[in-house]
Amino acid sequence: MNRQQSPNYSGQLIATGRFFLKKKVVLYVLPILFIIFLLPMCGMMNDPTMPPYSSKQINIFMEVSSETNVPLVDLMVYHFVNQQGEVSKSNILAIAKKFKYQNSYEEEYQECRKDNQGKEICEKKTRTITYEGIYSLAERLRLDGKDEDTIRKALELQQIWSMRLGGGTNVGLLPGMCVGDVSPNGKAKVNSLVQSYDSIIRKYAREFGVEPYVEVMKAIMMAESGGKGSDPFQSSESGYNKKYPRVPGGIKDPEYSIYVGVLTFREALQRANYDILTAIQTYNFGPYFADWIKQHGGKYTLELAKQYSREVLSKYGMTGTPDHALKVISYYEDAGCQTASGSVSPSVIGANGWVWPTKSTRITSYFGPRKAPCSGCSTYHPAVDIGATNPGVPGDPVWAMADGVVTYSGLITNGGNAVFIDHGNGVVSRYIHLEERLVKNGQVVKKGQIIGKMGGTGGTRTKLVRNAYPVHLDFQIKINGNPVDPLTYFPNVR
Amino acid sequence: MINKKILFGIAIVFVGILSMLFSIDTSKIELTTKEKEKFLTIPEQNEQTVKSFLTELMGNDYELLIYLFDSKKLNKSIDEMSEQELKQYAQEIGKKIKGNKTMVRGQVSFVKNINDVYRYTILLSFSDGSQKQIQLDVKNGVIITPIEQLTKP
Repeated sequence: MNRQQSPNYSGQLIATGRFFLKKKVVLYVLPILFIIFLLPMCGMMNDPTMPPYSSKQINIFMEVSSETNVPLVDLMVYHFVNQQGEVSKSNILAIAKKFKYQNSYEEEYQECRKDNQGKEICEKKTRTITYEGIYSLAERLRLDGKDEDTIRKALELQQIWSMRLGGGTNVGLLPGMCVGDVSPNGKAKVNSLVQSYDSIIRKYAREFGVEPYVEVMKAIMMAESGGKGSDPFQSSESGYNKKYPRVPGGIKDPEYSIYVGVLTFREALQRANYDILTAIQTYNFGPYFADWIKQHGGKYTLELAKQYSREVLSKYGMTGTPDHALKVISYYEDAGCQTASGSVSPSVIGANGWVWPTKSTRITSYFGPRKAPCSGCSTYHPAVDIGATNPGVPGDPVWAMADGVVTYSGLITNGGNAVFIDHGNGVVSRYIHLEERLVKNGQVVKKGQIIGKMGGTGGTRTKLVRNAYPVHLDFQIKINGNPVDPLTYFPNVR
Repeated sequence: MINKKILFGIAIVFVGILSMLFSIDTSKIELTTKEKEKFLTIPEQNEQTVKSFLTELMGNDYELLIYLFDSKKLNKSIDEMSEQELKQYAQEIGKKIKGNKTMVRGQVSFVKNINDVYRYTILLSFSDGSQKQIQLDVKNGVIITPIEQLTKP
């Protein structure tokens, strides 16, 4: 046998061109090399420098963003694009130092036009360049076209996503963060058929940047088909289906059904600002439902879905399934928003890096003048009331909106369990009607630290009365002693 | 004699474990470490209370201010008050302490410690240029000065 021509020969010797490897080398050295080099590479799949970042890493970005006023997304995109090593505070601070820019700048440019005789006339003009969109981001980062493409790809794949790229106020939601009443950190309760598609769903979810929603998507599949048939995601009517007839059950390939389903759900998530219930219902009603819901309260409710079915879909001879989101979610066990430290984490980030104090963003009473909700109640509401994730059910975690010191933790008249936190610089926040307080006077608290549980307590300073009010959190921010509307600082909560 | 192959196998497993250890995302190690609760010391708490008192007094909403007081030191029982009554009472207290003026500054000029009671001498400055000196006794982070002493002109 001509060994030179048999590189895969597995006898005593292996011939690869000019090199001859002994059997011992193949049996012992190669496995060792494999273990030394390949296993750490497997670990690199979870490399902290690659998005999506963990909650702990996002917290570091947020902290630095808050301290330096460099928008969160800029830090993350820069870190991602340039592969700037581990996500440590010092490292991200170093990145933040690279951002020395303003929100806009004046730029001189030449505007040319041709006159009647075809001669080109140019004149100098000035224009204001504002920082919006990925082009300006690339411009700010002084990246060349190739890098810009990388950023575009990163953004398009939803690996890093932001609603706003403007400097100054840091407002934004990231895929995988908790928005609305359902978190992406739950577990689907599905049958073995659906479970068998886990790896395929995961594959496309990873590819399209929506991996945190794999369990939600499994719940969708469970509700749609129970995993049966050749179109388990029932996605054949989606615009992303370009291969099979767009009729119910039109797709004849389960993997293609999943591919289309994941793309469709990704779009629904984006349109719904990552509010899971709205996104699920959008999957059923079509993409315009998410846009419509923004004009009608901002998030899914059964009533709104029925209204949409009645007023919009009926015009096209359709009804849809208004309770589809609820049906899907019955196959989903929500675990709340987990951080790396295992605790529940803040979801919405507002100005100054402050965090929305609880999981729900359902406002039940706004700041300002109001009709007194009860006899003896104040007609001016110096706070916002936030409803529970599950209306009427106490226990939602409440966390500190920023670092600070607990100046009061106790009972207050009409407010039941209350916690006041001084954040320094004249900023104070209060959290009342708590079911339970988890901090004490004089305790130093960190941003996002759980300080109590949402409830409906009332009573007096000496007597606690439970269920005195509907379950909600009375959340107030005061600056220099004056109450301010918290929603001013959390414009993405409406 | 241990077989060389077994030794080699052990070595491979050992190296494998080591390489896996190095590839672990260390950020997740904190999963098992619980942060320790941190509290201000009593003198720090007293100071924080005075700071909060001044911050609240600076504004126009005094509901948080009254909770800095020992409830026995208030001249009315707030327990039976409605929301509206409590708001009015808080306004009354705040305005009286400031003498219906606009406060522009609050400054601690002197602190004295008598048997764990910290006595803060505070100078309040108003927009019309006038000033008012008050004394605030704070113990364990709670104001124990009777409210009447602060509200008198």
